Amino acid sequence: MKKILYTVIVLGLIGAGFGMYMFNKPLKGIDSMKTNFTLSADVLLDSFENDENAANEKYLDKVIQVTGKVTKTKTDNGKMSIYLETGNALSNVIFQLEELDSSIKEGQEVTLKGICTGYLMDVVLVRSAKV
Amino acid sequence: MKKYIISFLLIAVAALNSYGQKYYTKTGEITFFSATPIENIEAVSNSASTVIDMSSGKIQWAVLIKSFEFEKALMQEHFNENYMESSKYPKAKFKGQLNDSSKVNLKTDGIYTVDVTGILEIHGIEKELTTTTTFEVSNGEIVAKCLLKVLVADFGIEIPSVVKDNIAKEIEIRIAGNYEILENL
Repeated sequence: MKKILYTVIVLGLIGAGFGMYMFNKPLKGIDSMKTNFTLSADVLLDSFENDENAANEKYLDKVIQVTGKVTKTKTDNGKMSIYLETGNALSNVIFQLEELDSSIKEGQEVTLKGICTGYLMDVVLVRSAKV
Repeated sequence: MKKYIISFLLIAVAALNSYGQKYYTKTGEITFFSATPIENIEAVSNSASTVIDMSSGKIQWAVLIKSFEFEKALMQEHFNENYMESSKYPKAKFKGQLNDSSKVNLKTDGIYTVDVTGILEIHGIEKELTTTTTFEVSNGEIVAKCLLKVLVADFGIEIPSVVKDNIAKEIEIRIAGNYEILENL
């Protein structure tokens, strides 16, 4: 009888521990996430410009890897954003980095991956990092 | 001939005046707070876009809901999937008008406070509001700040009764943008 009681208590504690773990789980790092799409900055921007709803359907929340030329880097409020060149002078593919990366400079070719959040004037990806 | 020169000069002056009247940033910061006795929840996005046209006094903001980051993964998931339905409504927007844009001179150092009236769209629902925005200009840096308070219920966001004590009915939204001059438009 006592044995059953102990088993129940132990199982209960494990359950509660797992619950607390899930509740407090921090956001997953990009490095451990599988890349869903690898494409060019132009193709990604074009799909949002042509049919935003279809592109949202396809790309939102997905991990996307893009290789392109850096037109601008900007650090604002401690967050660094990398602007990749597209055929459109006013719109970019913007990767917001999870951590500052001073190795990325304007004019360079880089490969970045991040989570796609959608399209404003630009396609915006967050929690990104250099590959 | 003189006529042509004068009209040319007039056009040039007009062009010079409108030049540099637009300002923008694509890395605006929007933070929101929900404060209850049980817990405080905070989320931040650093990728809001905004354009301001000083010649007309029009101001626009837009932010992607999925760009908000929370401390806890589960909170972010609930926020996107259950409350904001961010796959269906990916953006929040504000389109407004500075009520007295002549009071604000973004080319001269100073602190300018001005009322802004416009339409705020969250979760696919539009609501008109008036708020106060502060522009701080110093050494060519332009920082705009604004504080909004919105009711969750006004935007048709349903909070399940299990967690209704964990999420404030009124959410505080802080908006901050470091504007750059828009030279290519």
